[in-house]
Amino acid sequence: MSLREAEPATRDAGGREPTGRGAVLRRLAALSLLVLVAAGAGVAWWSSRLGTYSVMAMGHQHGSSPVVATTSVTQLVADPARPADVRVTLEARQERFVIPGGQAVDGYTIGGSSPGPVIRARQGQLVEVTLVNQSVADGVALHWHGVDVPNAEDGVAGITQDAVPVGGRHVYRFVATDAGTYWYHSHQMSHEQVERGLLGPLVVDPVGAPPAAVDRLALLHLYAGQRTLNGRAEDELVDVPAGSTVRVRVVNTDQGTAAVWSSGPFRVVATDGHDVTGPTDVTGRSVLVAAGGRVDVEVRTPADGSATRLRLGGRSMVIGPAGTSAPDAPQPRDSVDLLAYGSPAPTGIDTAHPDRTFEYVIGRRFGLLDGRPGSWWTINGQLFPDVPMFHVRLGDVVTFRIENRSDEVHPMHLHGHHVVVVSRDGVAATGSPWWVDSLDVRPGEAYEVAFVADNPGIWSDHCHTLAHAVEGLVAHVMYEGVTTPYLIAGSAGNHPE
Amino acid sequence: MRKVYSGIAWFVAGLVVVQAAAIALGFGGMMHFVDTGGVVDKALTESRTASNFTGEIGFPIHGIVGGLVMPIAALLLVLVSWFTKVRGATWWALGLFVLVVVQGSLGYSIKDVPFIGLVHGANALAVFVVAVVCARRAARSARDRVAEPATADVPA
Repeated sequence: MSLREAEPATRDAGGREPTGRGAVLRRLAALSLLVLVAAGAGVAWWSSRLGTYSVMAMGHQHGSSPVVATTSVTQLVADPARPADVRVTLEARQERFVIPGGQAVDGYTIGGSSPGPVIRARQGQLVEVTLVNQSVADGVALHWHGVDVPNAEDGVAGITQDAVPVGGRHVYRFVATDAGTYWYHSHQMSHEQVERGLLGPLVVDPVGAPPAAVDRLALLHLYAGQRTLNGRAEDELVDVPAGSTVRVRVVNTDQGTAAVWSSGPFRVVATDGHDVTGPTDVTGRSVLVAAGGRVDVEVRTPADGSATRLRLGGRSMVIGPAGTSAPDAPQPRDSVDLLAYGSPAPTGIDTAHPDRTFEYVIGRRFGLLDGRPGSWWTINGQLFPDVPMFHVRLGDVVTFRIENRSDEVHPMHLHGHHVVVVSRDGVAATGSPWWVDSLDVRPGEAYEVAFVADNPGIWSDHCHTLAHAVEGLVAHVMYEGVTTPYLIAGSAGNHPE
Repeated sequence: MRKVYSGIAWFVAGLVVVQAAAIALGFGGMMHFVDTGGVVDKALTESRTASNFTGEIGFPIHGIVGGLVMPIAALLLVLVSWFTKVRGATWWALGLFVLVVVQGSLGYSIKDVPFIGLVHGANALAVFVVAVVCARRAARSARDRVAEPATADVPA
């Protein structure tokens, strides 16, 4: 049916304008409606703009009502009187650099290279890192991914510090409490700076004998399409005698899951800086490493003198006596399920009687985010910044149910804590305690995780596919009584994601 | 308005051809990349810094055309149909719009249920055929009415 047929009286045969009072009223009504709709859309757009804001004012509250804030995040530091055991100065630069074995890229270096230098400490040592921004125009802040540092050292621009401007410096101090594999990266404009190289590895060795005679890092990163292993766009050879045990610390600094598998059996000996109890041989399966996550694997080279090929995302590490070749390793169809890997052990958390129980349901819908229309991520049905603020009290046992109702995998990363996986899709964990700080939650999956609130502060809990965090997939865990003086945006130009 | 209606319908039909070409380009480039030692994984698909292989552009083209351009064009066809005096134009346009929306939903669901890919391909042909029918019906109607006085087709 045409509009012309619907309103035959409003026009005459010559198409002249209608003159009746009714027609004028109809036009006024239509105009008013149009103005109302336009005004409504304008208000919705205006109110969705973020501008400068404090994380304190963000989101709707979950948990108890907040008490009067008594502690600033700036007070949550390591013992200032204790001298540092490990001192490092890292200079951050925005520059063009050559990937060894590959092409030059425009990106960021730290300590003159990307990845930056390995920071190595022994368990219990106090690490002091001085960050100097030499030329990163947007400013820089360093986050210690997986290290449960005091909140003031967490390196999140706009929450725990201001971004360090060009010419500025910032000192981070923390005790390396847990032995394991970690990494550091910028948490200012992180989606841009991490992807372009502002990152590096951090290893904390246990007190006493090293867990394996040969210990190698395998930091994975894609630089403008170039697959690298420890910063080189080429495979790596590890020259060891037959029958050697080699620990390979895989660090996935990319934006998506990496698969690791081998031509021979291997063991998963640690996840996200926590040892696996009772690891067994994995054969014909891969182990998946979430974006931001780490997995330590142990490879034993065959006694016959041949080498083992360890496949790491798009690169290989050939481990064996010099001059020997390693067999090819076709990609396995299945991956090891860490929910049932290794042997059970006490976690020290009474997950049956939590003090707080939170839901973190990830979805997606159309809406306005910072004035931009689009299809954005939601948390519990709400768009950023109307996402939950998870309030906890020091000493609480906290459980989270993280459910992914979207169609993409999300590597969820909680700062300042390690969580233990309790169950997935209602199936209880039966293997070694599976401790993580970066957990892949695939479409349709629901994980229950638990942790003890033992590190006061304001902590980001976000997706480590960093573009997703920019698209609103970030919430916070806030301890009772803690406040921050820092602002997102503002004069310091803080943009943590 | 019939010409506009017919033009949009031909445009939608043409986009089906673009879609087929774009996805073939994408998969062809990807297979070439894999053959030369490239690895396609989540780290690569989430990386936004550079073109990783020739033909990669085919995937975003397929996504944008199927998820945005075609639904908008099909919706526009429904709106334009109200102003054409072609019998059944609105119903055909609505049918095309439904097919296009179904096609997009199928596309987004392939990742979860790969067998949906079989229907996605067949439905693409349905979109093409219905778009061509829309275009030809409008064109035929325009020819049939060419002798009528111009005032009979005053637009609203």
